[in-house]
Order: sequence, then C-alpha cells, then structure tokens
Amino acid sequence: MPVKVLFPHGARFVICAWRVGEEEVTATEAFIFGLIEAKNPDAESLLYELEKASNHGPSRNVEKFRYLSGTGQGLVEFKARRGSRVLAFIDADRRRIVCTHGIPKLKPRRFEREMEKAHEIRNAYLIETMEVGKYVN
Amino acid sequence: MLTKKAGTRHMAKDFQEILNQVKSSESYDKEVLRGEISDQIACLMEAQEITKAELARRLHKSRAYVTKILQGNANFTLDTLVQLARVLGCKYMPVFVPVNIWKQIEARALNVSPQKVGESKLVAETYSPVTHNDPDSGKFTT
Repeated sequence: MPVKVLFPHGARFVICAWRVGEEEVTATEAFIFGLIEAKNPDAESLLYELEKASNHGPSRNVEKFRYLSGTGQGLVEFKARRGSRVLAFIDADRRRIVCTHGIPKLKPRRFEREMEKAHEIRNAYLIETMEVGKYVN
Repeated sequence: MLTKKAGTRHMAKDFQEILNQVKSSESYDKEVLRGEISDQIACLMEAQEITKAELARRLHKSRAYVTKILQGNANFTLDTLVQLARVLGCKYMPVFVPVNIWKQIEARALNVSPQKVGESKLVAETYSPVTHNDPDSGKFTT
C-alpha cells in the first residue's frame, strides 16, 4: 500500500500520507518539515489539526477543515491560520484520512491545479485499494 | 514557496521524532490553545445557529474580525474572551494543569504508562489496526 502512517493510534481515524514509490519522506511530511524549518506557525497548527482529526474526527470549524465536495470530488482540506493547507481525502471503510500533499497560500487558479493533482492521487489510491473480484459471484 | 526540497534536511529524522519535538515546544502549546478556543466558539455558534454576522453584531465588531477569531488569527484580550463567552451564553473557565497531571491524562487516553508519553517508541507499541465494521464508518463519506 503506497501510504505512510503519520498518526496511527487515533480513536477515530488513522492519518496517512500518500507515498510515491519507496520515498522516505512523503510530500505531506516534506511540506510540514519545510514549514518547521521556516519557523512558520502553520506547521504546529497543521500538526494539531491532523492529530485532533485522528482522535476526535475532523474539526467542525470551517476555517480549519473543509469538505471540497462541490469542486474537489471527495477531497477535504486542513487549513492552518496563515493559509497553508494540507489536501486529503477520507477512506471511511478503512477509517483512514489520506493526505495527498501540502500547499502554501495560493491564488484560486493555482489551487484548482493542486486539487486536480490531489484528485489524481485519490484515483490512484482507489485503484490500489480496490479488492479485485470482491463483488464477483 | 516552500517546496519538497525545503524539508529534505529532515530526511534522516523520523516523523514521530519531529512530532514529539514540536509537541514539547511552547509554540505548539500556543497553537493548541488558539485552535481549542476557535473550535469551541465554532461549535457553540453551530449549536446555537449563530452566524458570523450575528456574532459580529453582538460583539460590536466586524464580520472579518469574527473570521479572524475562527481562524485562530485574532490575538484577543481577556476582556474580549469574556465578552465572547457572554454573548454565546457561557462562562469562560481557564484551568492551569500541572505538566505531570497532563501527562497522566494523555497516558490514560493512549492507554500507556505516563513515563512513556512522548516516546517515539510509543507508536509501535500502541499501534493496532482499526476494525472495518464500525457503525460510524459511512458518516464521513464524501
């Protein structure tokens, strides 16, 4: 499975990050590490939001967590207070939230491109996790 | 823009190790408090069906200020905090918790001994795969 577990022991969800091949650091981790190095408080904010989602489910505060269902086809976003975001999708069957990648504050057009990228990852994940023959008589 | 390259210096480090470092920092505690307060306000607003505009009207502030509060960006005073609690029909109750008591609370939540809270090994020790047949499982389908 091309995901790396970030928060494994949450009561509600296991938070994972999409991993390409055998890379040690996923795109989500690299983004958060970058924020830490830049001393950007968004790193702490995002880590807190992810851990909270893992333990209690996603935040009810739309300024922190938002479903992008209308435009993003099943995607969600975790927002930090200075505008950094982590795009993700929810695999309810496996009680997993899979983070695709992180993005800094962007203009709407650029954000759409990032959503397309996240959507492609979601499709790849669905193909990867599809149990072949499960519904065949 | 922060790219993947910016994080490569942490390549050798483990995510859990870095997470534990961040969680022990003062700035993380500040972010947690900001997040907790804004989430509690958001929950109260949802429960009482109060819009941002309505809260702004009650506080005699702008709607943009309410958005800032919900984002966790407003560095408001204690006076504003008390005012916020009152307009939401609540009392604000600050509690100072000693660190050792806090560790016990965390340990109870994670079902481990207090000495092990914050250890990177904790992940491997407590990890167990989640069952798939939970009644809530369909709740977050998007």
